[in-house]
Amino acid sequence: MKQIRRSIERGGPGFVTLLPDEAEDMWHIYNLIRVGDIVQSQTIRKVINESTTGSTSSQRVHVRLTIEVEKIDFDPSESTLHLKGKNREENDLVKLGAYHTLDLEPSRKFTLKKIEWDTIDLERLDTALDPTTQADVAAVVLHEGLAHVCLLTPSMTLVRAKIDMQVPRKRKGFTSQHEKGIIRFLDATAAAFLKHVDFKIVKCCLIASRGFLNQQFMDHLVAYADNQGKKFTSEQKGKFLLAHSSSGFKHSLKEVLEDPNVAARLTDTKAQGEVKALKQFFEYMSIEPDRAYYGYKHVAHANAEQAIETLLIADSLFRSQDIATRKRYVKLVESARQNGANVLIFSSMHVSGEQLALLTGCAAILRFAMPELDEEQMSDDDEKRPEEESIS
Amino acid sequence: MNYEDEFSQDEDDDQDFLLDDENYAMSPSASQFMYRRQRLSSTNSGVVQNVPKLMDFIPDDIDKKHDEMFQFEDDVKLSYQDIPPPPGLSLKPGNLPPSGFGPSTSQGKPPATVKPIGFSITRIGEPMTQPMEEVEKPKPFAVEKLKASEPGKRSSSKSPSRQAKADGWEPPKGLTPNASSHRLSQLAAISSAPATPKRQRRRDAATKELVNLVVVGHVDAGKSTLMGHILCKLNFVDQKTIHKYKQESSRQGKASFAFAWVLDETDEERNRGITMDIARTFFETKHRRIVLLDAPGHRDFIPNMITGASQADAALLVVNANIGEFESGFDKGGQTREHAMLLRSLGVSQLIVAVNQLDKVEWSQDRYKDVESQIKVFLERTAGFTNIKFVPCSGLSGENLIERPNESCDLRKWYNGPCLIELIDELQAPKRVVDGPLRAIINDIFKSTSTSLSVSVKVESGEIQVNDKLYIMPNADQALVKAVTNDDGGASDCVYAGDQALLTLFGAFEPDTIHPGHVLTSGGKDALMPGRRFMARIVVFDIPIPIMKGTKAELFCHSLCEPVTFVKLVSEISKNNGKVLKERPRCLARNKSGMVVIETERDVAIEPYTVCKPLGRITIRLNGQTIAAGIIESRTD
Ligand SMILES: Nc1nc2c(ncn2[C@@H]2O[C@H](COP(=O)(O)OP(=O)(O)O)[C@@H](O)[C@H]2O)c(=O)[nH]1
Ligand SMILES: [Mg+2]
Repeated sequence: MKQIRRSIERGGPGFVTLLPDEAEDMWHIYNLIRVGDIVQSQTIRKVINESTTGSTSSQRVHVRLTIEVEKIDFDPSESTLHLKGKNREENDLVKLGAYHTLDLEPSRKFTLKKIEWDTIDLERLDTALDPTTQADVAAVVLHEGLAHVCLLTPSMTLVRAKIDMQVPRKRKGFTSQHEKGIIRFLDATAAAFLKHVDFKIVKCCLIASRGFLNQQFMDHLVAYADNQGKKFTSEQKGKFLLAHSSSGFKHSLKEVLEDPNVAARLTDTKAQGEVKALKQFFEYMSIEPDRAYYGYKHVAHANAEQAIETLLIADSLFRSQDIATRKRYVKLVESARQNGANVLIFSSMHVSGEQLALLTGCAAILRFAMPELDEEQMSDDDEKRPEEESIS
Repeated sequence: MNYEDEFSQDEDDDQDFLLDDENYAMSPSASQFMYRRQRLSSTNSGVVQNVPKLMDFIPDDIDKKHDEMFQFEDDVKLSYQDIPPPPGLSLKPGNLPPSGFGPSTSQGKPPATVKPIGFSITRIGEPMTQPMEEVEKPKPFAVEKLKASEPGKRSSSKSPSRQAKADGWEPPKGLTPNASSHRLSQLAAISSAPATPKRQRRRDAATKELVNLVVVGHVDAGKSTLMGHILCKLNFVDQKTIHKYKQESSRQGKASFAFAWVLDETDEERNRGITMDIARTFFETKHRRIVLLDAPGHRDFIPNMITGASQADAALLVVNANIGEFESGFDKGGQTREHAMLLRSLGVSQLIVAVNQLDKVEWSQDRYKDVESQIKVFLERTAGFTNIKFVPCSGLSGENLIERPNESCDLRKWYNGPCLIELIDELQAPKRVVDGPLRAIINDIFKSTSTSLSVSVKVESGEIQVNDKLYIMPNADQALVKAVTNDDGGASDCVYAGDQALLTLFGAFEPDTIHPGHVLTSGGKDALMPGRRFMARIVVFDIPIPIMKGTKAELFCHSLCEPVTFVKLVSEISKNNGKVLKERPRCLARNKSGMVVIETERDVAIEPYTVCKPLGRITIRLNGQTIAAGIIESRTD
């Protein structure tokens, strides 16, 4: 993403003009824009002209819209952000206060204005502007009848295709039905793979399943690509890595990424750091539970005692529509850092972040045991279900 | 220029957006209301009378220690007792809490409104006064008078779908209402549709009892070989076929797998020499009809093993007696223990242990005794089996399978007990819930078009006849039963609880929307209502990482496997007496017991254990490990 102009006061008002390039950028923008922000961008509208004789002709014109955001929708599969809100700047095409939609997408310049840019916002902006693009990974997790074809970017796991087919089981005397069903399923998965995985970008392809299906799919894919006249080169073949997963459900990707063999092949991305930290948290939970706490109340308490070694926090908490909630967590992050904690902000678009979000979104590994916390009831807040997100 | 017009499109957009918003706000609560109301009405009407009984599934063994239940260690005392306990099991009333709150708390309180936890927990200590009763229902009077054989009466009285249509719930063609609200109204209509009248037809008492037998054990214990050999000896595989297998397998250098090929039928299985999915076949003994389910032993295929075991009435656990091989199958990491624990949590209580491959140890009696005692300690103390029989044999060379060993065999020197088939012939069929509401679990769909389905089902409750009009849950698809085939091959016009059957269903089916784990139900107040949020009572297995709020795993229940999330840890409870040890615990660690709320991503056809046991017994797995087992207490969405 490119920054065209910026005028921001830390902790105060300001604006930035940005030009996003790719899907990843849209995710960062989604995390930046909140209800109440002002967004300005060019958009195209159809204008209908009516001549004096009554005949009409339509014309496409560029319009500059400036809206105060009321609703934000992120569509990861299309890499677009749909904003809705009231128009704030009148011009000859748009009335003040009229409701409009504004779509942001790669290669479309826009300006974002906020009344308050806090630490988390500024960090997000810096990450988004960091040009070192990391290795992209493709992953297929599958079991008989179910496959997920995913792309892993530094901050997102995008499910590009889900294949959910009914494969007949083996049945006495009718094994060919099962075998045919498997072929049909592998065909569909291979087709989805070829459609969505671009070897120019992808550096590593993980194929994970239980049993022998990963190998079977790999063989099938090579043959399928050959048939389609897209024979894999040996360099492309070298990008594949077979791994174990206990199912084809999306959450089993977590298991795949935790596999040391897989971790070794993937460059040490931010995502890998998140996977590791969450795993460590779970390990503490099992061996030394007095050093692992989750939920705002317990974590804030531990922070007050300067006990936090690592703070794990899901970015979904900062997208909270409730400004007070966001502020609370921003404060927690700032204070924990001051107290010397290592703070990891998890992307909820990765499986590990998704898991953390379900675990109240906020967890901490402590420097020392605090058994007294265990006596305290978890707060009601943490009982709430994670906010419904509008990611389609 | 006309500015009003040019944005009209946009305005439409915005309208949509507002409507959308409204929907968002409306539908969840509306659906909750709909669901709850149904739940309540069916509860009030007295269908759900029984309250969860802990002993049924996670029973307290009254005079033993409870602390380490479910642990895979040998030194642990058993506390995992069985359903139903053998008649005559004597209880020590002295150890039981007072029984005062039994019936008074249980009646008329819909679990959805009272605090369900406290409600059911008070039941835990309830004495097992009538622990063996199945879900008992008052028999409607009308039923007694209705003879299924009166065709006229039958067709007019039972036609839930036609009746429902008359009520106007089926939307007119071309009008496509919001899919979810449509489904809701459909569910409402199903439960208010007249129930299929109970029919008097019963299976001929003269027919042999049917027992569903699952064969489990560590990979390469010899399960498939053993059962393949039995099928050959009993002439359920013809000579020509086995001859062909022998030739082909030896040509591939796998001669020792010839008998296993009877069950391992796919190319993949034969090439690799391992069973990957359940093989289902049928044979008869002197007094029993047996549906044989040969399970895979490889740990990666435990999901398939669970599907098989959840259909079983009894199990044959095969262990390899060979030096070193028994140990690797039995130690941690081997499947012998996990399979046994799974059987136990899936409600399979009759167990035969075949100590196999004794030919490899020259029929050593010492080795047999050694293996037997190790297994026995584990099965009785840790897993809590009370009904175990042991038998020495060799599946490959065939001794002691269908006849007792002859003079020439070394086994004869020290063993003259029953052979394997004699033990199988003594297996008991559990009491079937034939007059219960219809619950038939689809475990395979082997042919599907947009208008017809060929499915394999296990009937868990009720019965199915040709021309029945049923619903497939959770999607509430209507289906007409066109043909019924009993799993022993013969065409039949009626199958009953306990049976495995092949059905041909007519209806309008979207491709790939019906999956194993879907359940056939009939209309009426007893109809199965799907849901996605459930209160469950679980026991955590010996796992390293505790279960926390938000833990994502896989839910197994009958033939179903779905991703599931623990959305709430309600309480940690004592396995000893069911008392709440801690409200809202941070986590449930190994060997703990607790009440939790679980949620699936889409609706699933499962229901409280008290309504239908096989649909209320759950197993939860994560990263290829069984992390918990338990029962569904109530639906909470
Ligand atoms: N010597 C001997 N070999 C056996 C016996 N039972 C099975 N085997 C061999 O063990 C291997 C695995 O058998 P299989 O039936 O596939 O085991 P499963 O994985 O438990 O189904 C095959 O090579 C069999 O021939 C036995 O009783 N004696
Ligand atoms: Mg086998």
